[in-house]
Amino acid sequence: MRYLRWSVSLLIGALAAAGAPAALDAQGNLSQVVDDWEGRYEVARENYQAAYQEWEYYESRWQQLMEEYGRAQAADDERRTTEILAQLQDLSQERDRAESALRIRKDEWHDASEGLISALEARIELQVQQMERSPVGSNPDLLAEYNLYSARLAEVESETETELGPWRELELPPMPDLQVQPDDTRGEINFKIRNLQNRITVLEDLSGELDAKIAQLENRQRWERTRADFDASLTGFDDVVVPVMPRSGATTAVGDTTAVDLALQPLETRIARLTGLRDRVLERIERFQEKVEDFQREAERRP
Amino acid sequence: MRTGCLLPFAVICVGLVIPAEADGQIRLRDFVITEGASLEGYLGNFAAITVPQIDSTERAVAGVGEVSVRGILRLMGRENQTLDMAFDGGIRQFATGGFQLRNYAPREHSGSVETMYQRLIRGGTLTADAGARFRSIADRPPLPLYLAPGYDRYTSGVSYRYRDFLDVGVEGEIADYAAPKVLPALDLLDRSSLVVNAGVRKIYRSPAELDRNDSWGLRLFSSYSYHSYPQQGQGSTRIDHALGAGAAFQGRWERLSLEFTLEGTRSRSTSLRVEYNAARLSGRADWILGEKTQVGLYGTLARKRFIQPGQDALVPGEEADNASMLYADLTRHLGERVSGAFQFGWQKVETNISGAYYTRFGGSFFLRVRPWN
Repeated sequence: MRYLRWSVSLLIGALAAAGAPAALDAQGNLSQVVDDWEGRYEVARENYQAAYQEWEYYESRWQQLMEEYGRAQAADDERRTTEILAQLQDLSQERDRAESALRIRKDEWHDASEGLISALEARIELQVQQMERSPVGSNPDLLAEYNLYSARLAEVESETETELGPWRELELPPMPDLQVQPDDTRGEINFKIRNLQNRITVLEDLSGELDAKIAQLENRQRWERTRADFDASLTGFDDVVVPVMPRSGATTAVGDTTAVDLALQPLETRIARLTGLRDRVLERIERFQEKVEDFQREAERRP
Repeated sequence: MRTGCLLPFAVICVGLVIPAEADGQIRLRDFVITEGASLEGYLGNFAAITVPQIDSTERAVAGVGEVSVRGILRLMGRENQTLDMAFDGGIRQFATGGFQLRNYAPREHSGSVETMYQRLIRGGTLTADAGARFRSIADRPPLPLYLAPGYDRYTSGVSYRYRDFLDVGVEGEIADYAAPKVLPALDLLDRSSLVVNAGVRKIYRSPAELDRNDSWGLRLFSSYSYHSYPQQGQGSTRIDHALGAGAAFQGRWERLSLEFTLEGTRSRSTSLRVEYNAARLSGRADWILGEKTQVGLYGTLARKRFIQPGQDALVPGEEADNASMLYADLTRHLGERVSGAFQFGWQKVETNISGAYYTRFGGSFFLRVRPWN
């Protein structure tokens, strides 16, 4: 903490000494960054909540049907059992889709919360610097702003921790252990087959989404590399070294910051991670398909 | 001097690499082999005292072939810190025509290695880098075919970028032009530099857009540069103090990126004759035309005005007054690992007083292969 404060002081001092006028507006810049992340955070949170409500609806309906199915089986009501199985089959596909969407929205909300928390921390740090430089009690607005940002930080941290829990990467849910039981009827086996087929459909959709995401990242990687190739062709043999003045060291790029890149991992790592996930999805599809064929053979043998 | 500089650089590089190797996480991030062929024309009457040969022609042509290899190694990649090493090496051979005395066959060798360590500290990024660049040229031709002289250059720097809005850095550089005995004037270019720069930036992103790729931003920066020329100055070393300030814009969208930088420099010196004010505008655009085609544009306009009249004792060729450059690149991806690029370039460098200039223009084709993608 002491190091960070020292660093911020050094930065602001260096900027003032170097005559950069915008340094005087560092507070305004930080507030704008916080506002920017607040906007993204709200969008991500609302998207997650909408996805959660949709998933909750299907989940609750699923549980309700499962209970009805149990009661129908207990009452030996074959007609009602068949009806519920058909409804479950229809519902399972939507339920799985909603679950996939929820996982993606959760990841997005987590990313936005990280950005907002970082922005709030930076804003609070600057506020502390200003309060330390002001005589005690001379500017009550500083303390009020400090309290405001601190309260918001606590709120965001609490909100995301409560609703999101510890963050983990997008991953496949555990593979369901569907087996044919010795006393399963043909209808029950067919239900399990349809369940598997629905899961295959959902996994195929997920595989398609991953393919699109991988293609998007690969395009960006190709773009970055082509830019680097162009740069290298100009600078490799000093063709564009301007013999007018020595280099000033002031060529830092404006956007797409290294910090953001570090936090997001390099493109090749992200591509490799998504490719690995896509391969696991394809592998699971294959295993489900084999299982469907086994179940179909088994169903033919059952009364 | 050359070997003397090499030793500390090697120590820095080894110091950075040893802990990374212990991690066992070395990974090749990028590796590309480039082969190129160019046809170029040169016009002008610029005279450079660092070029020993003199030829009365004002028009020359050259066919050029080149091959180069470059890549990036990730020596360490952890959650909040990385260590990369970039390397680049190449050879370029010219076959010239149009000179009065004889047709020259200059050959350039160029290589560089740079290590860069980055660490996230409370959302800010600390960057430390060290690099070396080597260049040599055999059978250097007279103007108007201007080819930069050979040198060894060592750089080292530290910078800190706090979030998306503040940055400060310091960079040191030693450049040794390694003049042969027959050309002592080249030593006049030897230079030691220290540059301190700071900037503030503002980056705009649409709040409703969760994809972080699209953004545009503005950076205001200022710098102080200290340049020492130990071989220049009569009795005392020439030392330049330069103040710079400028603004840079960068925008990035799904298929287009734009960059513009405007920079002004006020350079004062212990040698009054080399005091000057200068301005430089540079731009860069990259546009994705389709799934496999990309266009790049690069341009620079640099202007310099000396405070004192009469610059006869300057080092022509390395301290011209004005420069204009324009390069265009059209790249077509021929497969996952192969791409071809056509490039067209034009540049003109001139002096204010005598009207001397040289112009270089031409077209190139590059074939690039990434064997491991």
